[in-house]
Amino acid sequence: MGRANWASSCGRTHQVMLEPKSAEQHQTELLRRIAAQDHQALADLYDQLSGPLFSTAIHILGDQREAEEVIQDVFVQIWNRAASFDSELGVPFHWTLGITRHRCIDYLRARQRRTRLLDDATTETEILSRPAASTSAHDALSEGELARVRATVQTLPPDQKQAIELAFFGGMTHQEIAETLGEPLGTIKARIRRGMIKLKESLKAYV
Amino acid sequence: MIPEQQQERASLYALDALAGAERDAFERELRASNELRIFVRELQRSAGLLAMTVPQIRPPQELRSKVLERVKSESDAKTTDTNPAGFRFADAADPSG
Repeated sequence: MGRANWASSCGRTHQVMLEPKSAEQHQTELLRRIAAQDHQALADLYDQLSGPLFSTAIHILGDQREAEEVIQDVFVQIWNRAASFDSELGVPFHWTLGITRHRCIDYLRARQRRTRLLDDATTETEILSRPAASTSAHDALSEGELARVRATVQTLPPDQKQAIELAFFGGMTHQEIAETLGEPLGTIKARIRRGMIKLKESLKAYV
Repeated sequence: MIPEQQQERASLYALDALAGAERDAFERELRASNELRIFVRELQRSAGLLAMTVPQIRPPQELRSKVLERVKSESDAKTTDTNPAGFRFADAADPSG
């Protein structure tokens, strides 16, 4: 399927991937309106971004109920903090992802505290079964494009992929990654740089 | 050409793996260099694509109304400054134009 046809067949979140610059301008405008207390703008932003944010939250937490709570918290934070979004420092989707990942890490830490407090109590997590046909966002992204992005990530050397994933999904700083992996800080920095630049070059069509 | 060490900081920044003073210092570098901003945006978009590599799961339909109702009730309950300081949209179009 051609890029244009693919784009026209996709739903709301395709803007995140396919036309990053125009989607970013639109999302920046939505954040400006949200900062001015425009509820419709928040609804529009939710329609554009809730899918990938929710999927990320489930991936980090492994628990749908917690992911739903996180998404509620995230959009409340977006509502309250939209005025602090600074387009000189980044792009809107990345900003909302950052809020989501930080909120997930808060939940994970709270869960660990709860587990410690309850000592032998078991914290049951509702791990989602992930049958592709029933849960994939087929209306949002082409499976072919998703597969291409996933395949690109898989081509990263394992040490680079691991360091990037610990930062992105684990919410770790480079110092924490170095400590976790028992590697020198300089090694971790170089690993992340090489991996991120490889991703950027390989995914040039989308960035 | 962006120096290698700055590329390292940019990569960490795009993954939110810079913290504290290092993050603040990098943000000053970012504000000072258009070339660096372009580089970081591309890295951030790449990082955003990582979120697409996990199984994409549609949020439940009712979550949308829960989110919007919660925001509405919290904003109704709160007296807020509708034009807080620090509002910056450097690259956005001028709404008056």
